[in-house]
Amino acid sequence: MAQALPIASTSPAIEIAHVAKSFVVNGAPLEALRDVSLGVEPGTFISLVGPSGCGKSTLLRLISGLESADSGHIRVRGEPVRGPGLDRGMVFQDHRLFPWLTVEHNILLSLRRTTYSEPQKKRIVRDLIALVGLAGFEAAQPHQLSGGMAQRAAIARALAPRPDILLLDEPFGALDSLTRTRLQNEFLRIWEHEGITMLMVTHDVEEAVFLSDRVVVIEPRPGRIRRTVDIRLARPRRRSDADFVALKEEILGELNVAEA
Amino acid sequence: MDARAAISGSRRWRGIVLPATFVALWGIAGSFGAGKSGLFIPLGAVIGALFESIRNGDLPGAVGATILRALVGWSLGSLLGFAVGLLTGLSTGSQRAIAPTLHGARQVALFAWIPLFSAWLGNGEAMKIALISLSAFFPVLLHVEAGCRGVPAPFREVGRLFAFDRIDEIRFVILPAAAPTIISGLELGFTIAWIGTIGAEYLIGTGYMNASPDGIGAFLAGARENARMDLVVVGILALGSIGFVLDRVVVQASRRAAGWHKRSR
Amino acid sequence: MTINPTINPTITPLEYRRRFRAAVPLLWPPGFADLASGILRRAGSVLVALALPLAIFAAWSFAARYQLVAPQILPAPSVVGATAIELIKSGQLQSELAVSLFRLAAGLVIGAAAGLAVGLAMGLSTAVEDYLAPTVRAIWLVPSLGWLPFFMLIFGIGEALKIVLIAKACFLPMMVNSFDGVRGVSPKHRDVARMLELGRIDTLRFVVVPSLFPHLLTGLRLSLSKGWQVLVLVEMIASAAGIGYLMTWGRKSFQLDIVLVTMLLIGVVGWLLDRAALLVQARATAWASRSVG
Ligand SMILES: Nc1ncnc2c1ncn2[C@@H]1O[C@H](COP(=O)(O)OP(=O)(O)O)[C@@H](O)[C@H]1O
Ligand SMILES: [Mg+2]
Repeated sequence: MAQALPIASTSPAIEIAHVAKSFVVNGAPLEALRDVSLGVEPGTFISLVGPSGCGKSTLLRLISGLESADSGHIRVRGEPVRGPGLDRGMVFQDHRLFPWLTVEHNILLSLRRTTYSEPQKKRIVRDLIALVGLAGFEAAQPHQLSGGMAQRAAIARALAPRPDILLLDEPFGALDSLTRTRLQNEFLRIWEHEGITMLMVTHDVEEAVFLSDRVVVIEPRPGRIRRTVDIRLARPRRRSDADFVALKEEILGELNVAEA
Repeated sequence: MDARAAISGSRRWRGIVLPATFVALWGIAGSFGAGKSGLFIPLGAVIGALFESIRNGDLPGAVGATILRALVGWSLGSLLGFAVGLLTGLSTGSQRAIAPTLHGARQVALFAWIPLFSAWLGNGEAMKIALISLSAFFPVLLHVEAGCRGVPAPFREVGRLFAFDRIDEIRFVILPAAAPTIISGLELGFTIAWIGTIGAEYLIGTGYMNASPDGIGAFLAGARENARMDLVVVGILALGSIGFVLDRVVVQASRRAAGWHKRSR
Repeated sequence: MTINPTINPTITPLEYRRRFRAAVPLLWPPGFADLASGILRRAGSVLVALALPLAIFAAWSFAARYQLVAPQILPAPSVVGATAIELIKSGQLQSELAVSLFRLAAGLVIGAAAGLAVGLAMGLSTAVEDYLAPTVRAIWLVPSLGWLPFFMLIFGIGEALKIVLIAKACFLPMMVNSFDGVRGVSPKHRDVARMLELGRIDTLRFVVVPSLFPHLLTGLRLSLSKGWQVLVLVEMIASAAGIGYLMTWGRKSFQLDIVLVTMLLIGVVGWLLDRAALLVQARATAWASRSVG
């Protein structure tokens, strides 16, 4: 695999321009997104926050290629998105592991359409299981895992095909706060280790400030970007720092207006 | 703990009271010579008939033939039902084209196919197997179709994210997700195929047409023809116990096969 | 603005359709497009559904026309049609059907009533359940067909045989469903009834019966369909009248046209009975939930 050329840094990892998407709900059109534009530089960590129903998931699904935009365009590394691809991984709030497969085989299945040899695939799976801290649970069935463990397995599965971009839809939303904080720290470590572009939807503003380079606030009906806030805090970040708290308050303020 | 065990123990005994009373009355009535009327068969006579039909090979032969036939017909019908169900479950176009006709054909009561089948296929093994296959065909078809259609969209989206082609999707997502439904279709198919087997054998056995009859159905029909109530009772007992055992076997096998679903509940 | 999706790649077919739909009211009265496309879609799916039966019919006509198969094995569609008309004109089809339906009704009433009584008793009292359930389950291992020779020796091959066998077939679905209905009354609702200090009668009336009712109707519907199946069987084996008898008679005299007509009738009547039961079920369930809510 060739090293990324310097050119790559000038073309954004994700380029969203004037995207609109509506659904038909009970015969009436519902505008989920209107004129959304956003650029994401390679290797950055972006969070999307906003009240529920404002179109955050829809935006991720458009980037993943699970849905297609009504108008506007989405480019990933300069290429228009035509459908799902292994260059983009996705982690859902419900882990979506296949209940009929073990952790190991769930991850292995994500490599089905890659060109790695069988031993390479085995090694990738083993390394990822270690990376997300699930060593010893290779043969476990999804129902035997706790919520946090299942979400780690889902993250490993999304990382396995070596995507350039990882899309995360409230990945820690269903976890208790203790597990959540621990996973956030581990996730940061994974991001620094893999150096991929992250786009995460979250309800938790503190989580967004803790993890991201930039926070995008979305307002509803129709869903559009209200503001983007750059987080220029040094890492590792401390949640109790005055700057941290100030940024968090600022975003919460934006959200309250958006929600009203 | 002890008290509960005692209660459940005594409750279990309650279930035996009725059959035990019945058997006791049966035995007593027999010993008082009530068996002369012809219809009443003393308990001893039934036991005697049981041993007799085992010794002369009639019963084991009949049981063997029925089981073999049921399994062959069930397998064939399930295979066909699986294939067609997969087609209609995976392709909306073929569902629209085929399903209405099949639902129409399904309305005809199972045994009402026998006259037509026997005219077309004769009264030999082919006709019986055709009927048994048909009896397994519809439940398997419907369950396979429903199973494939009912795969949750979130699972299918995972397949799309990993760039699966259609074959991969069917193999790694749709079939495993539909497996529990498909397996209960196979179970139901077996139950109905068992009834279909007895029915096919019985109708042939009653000299419906002149053919060589065998199987429990024919055993029962023959016993009735000769007014041998003792053998009729033996046949019914055999039918009940074999049906029970086979059902257990099928259910156990399918529980094992569909394990992921029940465990993850 | 271009609305051609092949020229402007950022417009998906969906958006294209949306814009087209938006433009339609200008051309036609409102609602017309939806109505028209709905009718077209309906007609399309009916046509698709008819293709296979028509193909079968064509192959059948062809085979009969050129005598590819002996007429005793496969009579021509026209012959089957003529036989059907003849059987109806002579009134034979109706009278055989009446005999069958009477047997079904008698068996259903007896079997379903017994099933209801036993199911309710077992549902209301665990003692009754303890005593009866294993025996009922054991009897149930043997399909109705297995009991046929037994009943034939006891009841002969008269009317009693058919009614007893049908009743036996109708018994179980009704019993199982009424048992489930009683046991399925949610404890939460019972608690509510106790809190409201409803009397025994009121609890029965407002809590037990409404939640039991749908189960009973399901049981009745299943009993009906089971009973119809068994009716056909017993008439084929031991009867001198009824629709099943007519079919067997047609087979024995190698008149496959009669066999085909009766098969069709069995299918149609079975379907109609089930439809009717479903309709009653839907109506009655709606009524039950309204009368309580
Ligand atoms: N497939 C769909 N069909 C109909 N409406 C949808 C669909 N997906 C999303 N929506 C609607 O679009 C809006 C945005 O949804 P979503 O993107 O899931 O919001 P969020 O993730 O921000 O909570 C909501 O009003 C939702 O009901
Ligand atoms: Mg969402």
